[in-house]
Amino acid sequence: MGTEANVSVLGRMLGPYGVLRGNRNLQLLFGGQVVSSFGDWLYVLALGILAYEITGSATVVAVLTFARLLPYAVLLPFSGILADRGNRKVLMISADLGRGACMLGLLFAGSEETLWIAYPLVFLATVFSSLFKPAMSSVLPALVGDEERLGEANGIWAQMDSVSFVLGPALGACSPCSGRRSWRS
Amino acid sequence: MLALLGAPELAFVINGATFLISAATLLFIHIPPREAPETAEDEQEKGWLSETLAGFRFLFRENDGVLAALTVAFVGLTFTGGGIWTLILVLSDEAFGLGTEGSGFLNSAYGAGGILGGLAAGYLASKVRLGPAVIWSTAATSVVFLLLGISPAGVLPFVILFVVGVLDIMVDVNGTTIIQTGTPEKLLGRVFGAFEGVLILAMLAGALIVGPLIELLGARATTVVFAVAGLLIFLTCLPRLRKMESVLGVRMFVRKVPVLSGLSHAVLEDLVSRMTLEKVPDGTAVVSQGEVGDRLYIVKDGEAEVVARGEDGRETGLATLSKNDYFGEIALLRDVPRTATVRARGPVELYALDREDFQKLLGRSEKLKSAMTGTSDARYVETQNSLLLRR
Repeated sequence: MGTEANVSVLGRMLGPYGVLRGNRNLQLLFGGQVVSSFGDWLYVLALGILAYEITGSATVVAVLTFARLLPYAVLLPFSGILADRGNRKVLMISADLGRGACMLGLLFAGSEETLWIAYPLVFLATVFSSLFKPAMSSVLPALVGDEERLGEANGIWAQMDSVSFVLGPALGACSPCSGRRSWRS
Repeated sequence: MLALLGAPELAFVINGATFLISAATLLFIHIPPREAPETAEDEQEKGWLSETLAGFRFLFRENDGVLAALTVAFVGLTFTGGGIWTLILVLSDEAFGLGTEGSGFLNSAYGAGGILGGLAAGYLASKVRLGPAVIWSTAATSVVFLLLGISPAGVLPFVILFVVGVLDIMVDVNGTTIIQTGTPEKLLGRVFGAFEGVLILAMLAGALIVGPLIELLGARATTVVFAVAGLLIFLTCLPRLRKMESVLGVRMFVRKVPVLSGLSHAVLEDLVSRMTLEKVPDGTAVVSQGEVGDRLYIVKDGEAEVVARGEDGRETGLATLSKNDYFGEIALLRDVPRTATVRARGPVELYALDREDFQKLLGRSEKLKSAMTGTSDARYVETQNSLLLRR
């Protein structure tokens, strides 16, 4: 009886996931985005730790954070036009490939001499994210189709992002910590 | 598992790989083509700056200011969001006795709240109205955040941040859904770009100001200041926010009326400003055959029957009108008396447009004029034929 009630409550809570049923496009979009969102949180944490480990300077971390966020404020209002006028799919794929390339570039920023590389790369990665975000937001209603279910889709997306927010830094914290431990020993 | 791998560089490799996965999944997605701009006015909306500013114009100058109010209310919350990580760190260390390490657990409580908030927002999306939901969740977020500033150490800060996490996501989901549903598709990218750009600026401002404020007032007082600022901003926006459903509702409605759906955004905005809502009780004749017609009607909700009376005085049913159907155009286009009676079948809600505004609307869109004239001609002939067949 209690189990049935629990299943019923759980079933009701998970009800919004029904919006994904039979909608392959939405499944693919959310699947790809939850993976990418997890990586994003990992990156945000790792970037700060890398800069702090190399320089020991909180100011450097702050400047990097600023470089990471500033393009959003400057570019988002302008990049929306590309989402409205251009091919949103091509735009999103290009932005993903660009961001991926920036991440690989950051591998060369692992010493005090080469840390400067991180500034333009972090800036550029956010430029690509600024192209991606409005396209993603504007494409969602078209993929959901039924306007009545848009809130459910947004809820699922927000929940997935929250899971990434919890898991990304948690795993990210483990990763650099163990690296530091082995480096110290 | 990652604990065994080590090094921040690994995080960059993983993130790079996740972008490739995202790109790969996007390859297989079919995105329906967007609605095409078709009117002269849309075509006029050229020029890079003008096009770019269309998102800001829509947010801040149109819709009777309700989306501007929503954006500003969100600015209040995002401003707090910009300072929240620093505040949690310092509160954890200085106010709650958890050390800086404790901030990780407090952040986790916030994140866990977000997971539940996403579920709750999705669950409630189809059960509550978006307008009140966004108003209550925005107000509650600031009030609960204020409690963090005066909370004693112990379990309570975790509970508070968990609740803030729940509410924050609900605000986000409801606000995003309102903008998505209230914005024409061809403007969505720019509107979201403008919206998120403004919020990021607010977040940067919060992040910049939180440090000096903590130095000046301490972490607890700063938390209270941030929360009260968010609350005051929200209260300033409240009168407009309360009008959100009615203001956006009519705009969302007209975009779904097939004959109006191809109109430019500017024409629709003009139309909406001229329409009036009428509520008609069951059985009432909205228009009566033979009278002078002075208005066009669009059914918002309910059903109405169209009947025509022949020379013998008997009525013939011609059609049943429901949501999104319009009537009354024949008398306006042909300048003739009403050719039929339209009577409410149950309570009906209608949007009405008077003759002068209707003529102005037709003057602004050849496509609409052609569609209306076509329907009017077909209906006129159908009415005449029905009456002739009865003879």
